[in-house]
Amino acid sequence: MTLLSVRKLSKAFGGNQVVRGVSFDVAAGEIVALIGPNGAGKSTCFNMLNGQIGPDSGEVLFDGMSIGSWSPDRIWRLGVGRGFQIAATFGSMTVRDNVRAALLSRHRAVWRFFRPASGLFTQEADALLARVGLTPLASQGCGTLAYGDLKRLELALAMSNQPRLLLVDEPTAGMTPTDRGAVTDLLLALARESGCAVLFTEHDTDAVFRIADRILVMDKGVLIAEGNPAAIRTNALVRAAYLGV
Amino acid sequence: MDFLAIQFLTGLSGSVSLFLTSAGLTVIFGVTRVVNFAHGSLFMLGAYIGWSILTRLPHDPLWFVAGVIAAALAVAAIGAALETTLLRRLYRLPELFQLLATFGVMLVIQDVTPLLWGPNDLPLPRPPWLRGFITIFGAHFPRYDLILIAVGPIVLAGLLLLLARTRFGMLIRACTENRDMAAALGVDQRRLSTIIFALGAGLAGLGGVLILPDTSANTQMDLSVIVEAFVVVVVGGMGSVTGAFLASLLIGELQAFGIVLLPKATLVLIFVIMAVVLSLKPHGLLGSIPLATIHQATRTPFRPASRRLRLLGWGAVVLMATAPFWLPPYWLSVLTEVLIAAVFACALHLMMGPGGMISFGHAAWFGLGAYGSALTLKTLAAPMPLALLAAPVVAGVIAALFGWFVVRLSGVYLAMLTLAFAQIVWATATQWTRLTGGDDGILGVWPSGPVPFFWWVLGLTVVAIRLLQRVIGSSYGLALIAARDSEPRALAIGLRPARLRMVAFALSGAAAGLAGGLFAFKSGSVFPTYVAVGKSVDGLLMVLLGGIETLIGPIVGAVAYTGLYDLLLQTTSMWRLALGLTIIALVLLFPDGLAGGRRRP
Repeated sequence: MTLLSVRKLSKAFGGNQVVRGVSFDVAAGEIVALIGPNGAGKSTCFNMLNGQIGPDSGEVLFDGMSIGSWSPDRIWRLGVGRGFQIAATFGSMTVRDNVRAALLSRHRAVWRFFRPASGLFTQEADALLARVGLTPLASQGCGTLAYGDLKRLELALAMSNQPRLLLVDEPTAGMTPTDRGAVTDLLLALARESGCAVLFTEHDTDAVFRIADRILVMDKGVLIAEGNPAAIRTNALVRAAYLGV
Repeated sequence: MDFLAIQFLTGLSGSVSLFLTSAGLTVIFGVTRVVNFAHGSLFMLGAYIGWSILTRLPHDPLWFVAGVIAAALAVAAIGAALETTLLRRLYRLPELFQLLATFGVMLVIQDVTPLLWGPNDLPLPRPPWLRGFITIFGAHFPRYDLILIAVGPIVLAGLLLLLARTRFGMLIRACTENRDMAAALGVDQRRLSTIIFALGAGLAGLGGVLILPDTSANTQMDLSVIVEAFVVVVVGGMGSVTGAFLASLLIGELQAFGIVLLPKATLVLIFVIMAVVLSLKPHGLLGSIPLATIHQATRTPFRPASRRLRLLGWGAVVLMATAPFWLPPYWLSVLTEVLIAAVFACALHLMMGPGGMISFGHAAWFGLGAYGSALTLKTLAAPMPLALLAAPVVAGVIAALFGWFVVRLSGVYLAMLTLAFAQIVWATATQWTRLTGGDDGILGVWPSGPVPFFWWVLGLTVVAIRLLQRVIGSSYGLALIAARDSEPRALAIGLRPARLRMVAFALSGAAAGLAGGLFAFKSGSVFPTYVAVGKSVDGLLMVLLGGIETLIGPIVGAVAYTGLYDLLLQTTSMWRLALGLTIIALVLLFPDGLAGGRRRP
């Protein structure tokens, strides 16, 4: 079943056509990697999928609904979780309160002005933290976390709405090789146990070929190849884009 | 047709001085990222120094030009001195501290100027060659204003040439676009900053001296011009000289035609235009500088007060409740003032702490509350409790409307807009004499009823502060802090930062309004000074003194600041000078922010 369907998506910044007519599908429960050299238009493409940037033309269909002009908060409500290239968390809060904020939003409990938030959804928050392995750090300030742990926290935030699709922009950027492997494993485990689809961009090819069911390759704003890891390895266009041969 | 043309020319000439000043402000901001609150003072110094020079020179055109240039150069020198002694130390500080420190400079100059030139307005008698009129479209138009019209485009062309064609201009553009990269490529930012500050100050001085033949040098011109210049720079786009030119034309024409069409509503008209421009183009007409959001100092979580602190607090409340029986009237009055100040500070704290928004115009809500109360009492003959209820309602509703327009803006833009709005409320209070009594104010706003007024104040203070603290600890409070910490992440978990902030605006405005209403009854009167910039700065200083990161901070700050202020008022008539120097000293001594409470070794 097709969950996300992208049709002829285009975006230009000034005179610079960054994304040109990109189309692809992501099926429910599928893990798809979007790769390409620097400047290929991956991140722009990504930011159009969850409403950070509006596309110039083209369509984004999620579960049959056209969401191209929707704002990020509405898209999240549909069940799309997001991880950022540079971990975005709430720096002044404890790790648990980060997740609590997401749960308040999920349960539409944000507009309550007098009851202390500190007692709300604690169990649910701790369960999420347990899934990403942050239980020991739950009461710590987010500002004291190592970068790998921040990325885990991001995944917990992205999972807080029981998403059907996770959009993760470079989950392992800026991490040590050990951390990279661990976060990739975590992403894979989360996806498999919850059954949610994952679309991720990544420079770390190990991760890509290890966990992706299917790979999309972009170069200069265009989708140049698409297929399973084995097919992509041998694709002539991909070799040309990356290796110049 | 003739009338339109003449009004158009009037608008053109009126915009010149504003353009010069705003251009100075905008180039300084472009390179140093400092919003120079003292820019209006440099403008004022230009007028005063120009007066001193021009009244001593022979009355002929060449000497006039020479005098004008000399005055501008003198102000440029003052600007350079200011930059090397003070501003240089501010570049790495959060923008709020830059605004505060330069505001301190403005206060100091405000007290020093009358010392040097006397308290009276100084008109410059127009020499004969400047007095003439020229007949255009069958109407008389002052010759001086016609000359003035030419100055704007000349200076604009000069600045654009400087920016586009010279090596110095290239460096300025490089720093405006990307400071860090320019520094990495070896541009000496210290020297460049000094020169650019001198240039900006010189432009402000030029604006000040050129306005002399049309008005007189006076001690109010600093504030009025800085507010207009803020509007121009925000509308034109920060850092854009051409934008400043277009925006000052727009404002000049609006004023020229507005005074004929809607004499009472000119300021409101300007604000509406500004709101429209900013909602269509959040960075102004030609602005492109991506502004960082509010400086993220080391943020710590807001924690509910400890048990011991809470017991102490309630103990203090009980003790205060008995105060009317044993405290001398004077000290009871001081205590009342402290309580009201605490409400005001807590209101502002909600915006600045959890909300992460700088308000440089919180006096607007304080004043609207005060006028709301007084007018409900006077025109509706309502009893005091109802009048007090009107205060938060009036202020809160208007704050919600205003917030709806501005919450998408961040940092300096927001600070400037809140200031501009407060000035509009102030001008309305001054000019709408039929409703507000103008400078004479509204008198006879006395409390009534069997219970001493102090208990009303104490009760409402406790309720308001407890409510604000609960809001910060609530679900909503957590979401608001989330939006402050990371807007992209907040959106990505389904929160709506703009709406959260608008509500914070309304709540904060309502609480500040309540403080204003209480203050009206406490003083028995309401004056436009309740809405003046000084009141907004009072609030900022209280919040910063006490610390932004805690719930108790604003209360401590209110107590400390009210004490300091009363002390200054009692011991010196030069309280602006003393306050200004205190602010500068505080900012320099606590470079990491008073809030952090950390002192540099």
